[in-house]
Amino acid sequence: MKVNVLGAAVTPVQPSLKTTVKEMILDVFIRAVADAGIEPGDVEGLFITPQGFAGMSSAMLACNLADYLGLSLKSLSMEECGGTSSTVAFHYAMDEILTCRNSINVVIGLDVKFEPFEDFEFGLPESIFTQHSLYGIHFARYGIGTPVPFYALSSQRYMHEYGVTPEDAAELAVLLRENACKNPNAQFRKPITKEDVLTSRMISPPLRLLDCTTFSTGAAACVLAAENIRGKKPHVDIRGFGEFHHASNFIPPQASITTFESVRRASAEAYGAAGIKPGDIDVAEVYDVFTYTELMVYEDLGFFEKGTAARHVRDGETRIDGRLPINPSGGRLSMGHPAGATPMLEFAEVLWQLRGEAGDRQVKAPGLGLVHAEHGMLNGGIVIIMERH
Amino acid sequence: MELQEAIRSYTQKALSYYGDAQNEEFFRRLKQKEFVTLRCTRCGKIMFPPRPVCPACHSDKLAWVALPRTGTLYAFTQQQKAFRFSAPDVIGLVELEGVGRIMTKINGSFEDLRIGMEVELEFLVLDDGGVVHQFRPTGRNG
Repeated sequence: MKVNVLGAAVTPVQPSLKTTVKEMILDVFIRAVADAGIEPGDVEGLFITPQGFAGMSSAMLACNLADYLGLSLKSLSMEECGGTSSTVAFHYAMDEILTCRNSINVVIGLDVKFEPFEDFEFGLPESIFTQHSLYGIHFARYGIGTPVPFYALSSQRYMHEYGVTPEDAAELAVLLRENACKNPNAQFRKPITKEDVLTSRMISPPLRLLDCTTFSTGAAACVLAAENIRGKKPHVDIRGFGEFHHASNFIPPQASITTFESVRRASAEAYGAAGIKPGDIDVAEVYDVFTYTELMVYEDLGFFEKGTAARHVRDGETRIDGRLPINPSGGRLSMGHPAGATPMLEFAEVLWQLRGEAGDRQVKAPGLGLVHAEHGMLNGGIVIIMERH
Repeated sequence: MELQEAIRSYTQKALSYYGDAQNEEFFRRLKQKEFVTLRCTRCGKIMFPPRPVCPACHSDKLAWVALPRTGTLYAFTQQQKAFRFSAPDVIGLVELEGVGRIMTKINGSFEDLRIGMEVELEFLVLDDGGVVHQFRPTGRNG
């Protein structure tokens, strides 16, 4: 039993909401269904994420959508698990096909920008309630208002343990920007230099502005179907899936903060299910929102030995024309990061790459693609492997 | 002062949703200049932060124990914009023997800190009367 991937659609990644949340959902739904070559009425299950990490309530959004999209459904749900939310929704959608309940399901990830970095939001007393929910009661008491300091501590240790330098991180940021310049859906498309990265504003050392992504707004949808249903586009299916949630919240007292169990375990499960090795992957989209941690994720996915990712990036191996292209979309750093939508944006990118529809950033004839998502500071992760037939 | 009152009020509301008795006790003891956490009396695990059930064996037979007052600086950073504290706000991970690495405020300038430094505990009294832990270099090594 297999699950086919019939289609996908994304909105451009934007700094703020340009249309309404419902219009954004409608837009990606209609275009993903068209890409799949099916009718809206063929959809039996709809699986969405909340409209963002914080801010306004998303309650009953899924219920509203059945009416708004004109869909009578056998499954309808909103899934929340931090940055992995849309892949958790995907997991549910996939299982409803594997257990033969549904034949065609749509997954939609979305996010509306949350602005904790702006003074007016950062210091707003109302936001304190959200900070406690997001980061936990203990960390919040010590003034943690964003995840940036956690990643800064991890990055400093990575530099300390493996000799990785700010120049290495800048090299990755520049490469991702080059890729984003070829992606009309990316938020950041102005070329940057290593010097720009190394002199950008310090946020939380060693992390500078251009070592970080930003919260963004956007949506993405994908259409999954039972193995007897084909779309009008080249045949792509799901080869492997892995998921692991470590018993930790951001910074664990004992586990490493430079190598992540969730990435290693989720990817090992997915490689095992697909019967492949990391070296078999032809294109990957990985979820990380800071330069140094992105390098660590490349290693934990098994692409490179621990501590060597920077060297492989410097040697050009992860470029679009390299041995293992990673984040041809521009990645989170330059594509922008509407967290709820991010994993589905990655999924759409890998689908287009496998079908040969990625335009100026097309990787040469990939057969196997990988999508990675995470929550917390890599405390949990999901890995999906797709194949072009 | 209106802002301080609002911060206090929203913190209380958050704790009434997401807090627990062990978190409350931890901060009550900090006010008395006690630096403690919970140890599982069944498996011996020392947990941080304190919580109702042992994360290793899920026993609820826990006892308060004193935490070490000196440790080693494991990593550090500073927030250029600080939430609750004055900026830049230096924070770090301090490794306490037998416990692991705990997140803490650091009393020291970012430029002078080094990984591996010996650091010692201090109690920082906040405007709202609350107390949090912070560590400062002892100057004995690093």
